[in-house]
Amino acid sequence: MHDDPLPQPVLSVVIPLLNEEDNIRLLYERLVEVAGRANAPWEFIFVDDGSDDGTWEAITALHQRDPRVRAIRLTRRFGQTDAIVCGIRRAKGEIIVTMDGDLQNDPADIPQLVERLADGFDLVCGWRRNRQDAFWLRIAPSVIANTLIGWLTGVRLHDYGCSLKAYRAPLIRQTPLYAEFHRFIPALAVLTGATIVEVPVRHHPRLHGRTKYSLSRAWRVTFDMITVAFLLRCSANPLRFFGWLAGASAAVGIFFAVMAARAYAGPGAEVPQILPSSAVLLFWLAGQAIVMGFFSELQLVSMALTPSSTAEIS
Amino acid sequence: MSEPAVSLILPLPWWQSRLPDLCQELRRIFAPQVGSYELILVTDTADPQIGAHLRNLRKQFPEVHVLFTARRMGDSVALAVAVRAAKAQRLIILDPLLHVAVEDLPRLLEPMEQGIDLVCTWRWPSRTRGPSWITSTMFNALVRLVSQVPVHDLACRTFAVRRQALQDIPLYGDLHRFLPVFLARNGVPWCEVKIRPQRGQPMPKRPSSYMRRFFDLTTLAFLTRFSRRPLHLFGLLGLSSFTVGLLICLRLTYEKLVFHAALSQRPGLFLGVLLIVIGIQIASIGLLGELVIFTQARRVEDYYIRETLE
Repeated sequence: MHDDPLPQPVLSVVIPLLNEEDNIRLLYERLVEVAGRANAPWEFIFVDDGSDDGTWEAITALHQRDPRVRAIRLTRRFGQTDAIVCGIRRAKGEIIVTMDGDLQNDPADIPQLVERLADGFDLVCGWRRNRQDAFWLRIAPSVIANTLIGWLTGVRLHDYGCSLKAYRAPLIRQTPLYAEFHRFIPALAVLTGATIVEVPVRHHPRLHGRTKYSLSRAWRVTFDMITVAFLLRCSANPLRFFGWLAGASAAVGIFFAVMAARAYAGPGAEVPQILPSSAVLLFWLAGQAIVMGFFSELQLVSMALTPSSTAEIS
Repeated sequence: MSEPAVSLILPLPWWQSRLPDLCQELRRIFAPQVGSYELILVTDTADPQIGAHLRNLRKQFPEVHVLFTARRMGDSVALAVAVRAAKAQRLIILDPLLHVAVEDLPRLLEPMEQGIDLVCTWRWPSRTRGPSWITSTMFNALVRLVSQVPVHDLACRTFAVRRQALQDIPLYGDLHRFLPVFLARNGVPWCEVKIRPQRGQPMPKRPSSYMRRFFDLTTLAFLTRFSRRPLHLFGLLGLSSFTVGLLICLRLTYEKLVFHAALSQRPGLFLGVLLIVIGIQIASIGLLGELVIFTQARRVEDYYIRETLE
């Protein structure tokens, strides 16, 4: 359709979209405006995550006008993480910027983020200092989540939930992203050795469309948080984690066993049944934990033995 | 040889005396209605007699192709091998028990003209009666609930599919049993066609088949919901067990401290400790599962692309 070859883009903006037909046009115009000032070739990758309104038609119209617009349509709604990953894998720029398609992030902030990348950081996170959302339903849970994630993973940021982020492309491609891990990108990026900085960005109230978040995700986020903390701290030496578990339960088990022994040795015939049985249970748990530890090491060995997974990290 | 209009794939766990009749029937029905076709029989049997039977069949019917796979490879791999060998773009996977009417099979191809990539079958009118009707209805309702794909007859494993839709699907383990649901869930355009059940075909009914259905459901739930996030399942189970155990123990500790109740003969205390230990163990297994997925994460592609604009 477009005959003249485009210049190799320097920067790719990846935007996951779910039912945002009213916002796309305006978003695109703002992006183009910012790109025009940037004086370097950009590309825009729209990922339609199974929208059932006119989102795809709107994207198609933009693509026909502007060859810098590339688009991917997924077969159904896979979630924000998969949509971002899919866009990132196809991006051609050395710098990748992700943002929401709901116009709450401001494209005008992109140059500011990119500047910080030039300062030598690998990942620049937006920080919505003046968040324009409902307090109890959005802001309060997010403050709790940010504190918890920072505390659990050791990567302390003000705003994990802000989608507006800029990355060096090789770094984000190395970062393991799946399931619903888009919330933990900075924490996971630390695994690949990224240096991270936060930059305050603007935040606008939603004009069109509805938010796709709800509080029901809380328990899933909680478990994901535990997973990410576990992976960050223990994925290099999981035996240590399971070893601690085994050691702790064995210690409590020994305590119970000693108590039981003293009761047997002491005067009076009655020995509380709970003491020996608890000791047995805890020893059993310790044994299981050790086996799990070995098993987890085995999994790492199997990863090391498969080609490509380690070789591509350079 | 030019590309046939359709490839029929029949997994063959054992020799079926109906096969020559089936081939005749297919010739009678498919040749005029659909045009050229091929029938791929895939079997893992090592029995030389069956091999001889199949070779005879092939001599008689040149449109039949027989694939022998090693016994240990499993049904999903056998299916994958057959799909790779198929020459047509449209495939009809037949149920090994053949409990649908052959005359109705060409109807599966009709929706494919309109851009549908997957046509599931629904045996109608249902020939099951009585208690097994109740259990199979319940089973299918549960399948719908778990997978959120509104299929009606998962037990009928006959379906038509465009080969392209199977391209990126890794087939392993028990996945072949839920392939239609799995594909539909991944967004392949699909529809369901009512088709008559085969007359005179006895349904094998054993107590083990109920057990099998139960395993099918748990596998399906795991594959569709938790295979990428095991801690969501194991964490919830472990946390529930841990919490109940902790509450029991706290309650008994309270009784001991406040009322000086004797706890040595209370089974509740043992139960509490047991639940705590089991909870920790289940949650640890969940973390182990997360580690397993994580080590493969960079290569996983969990999404399917309908189209791209470049």
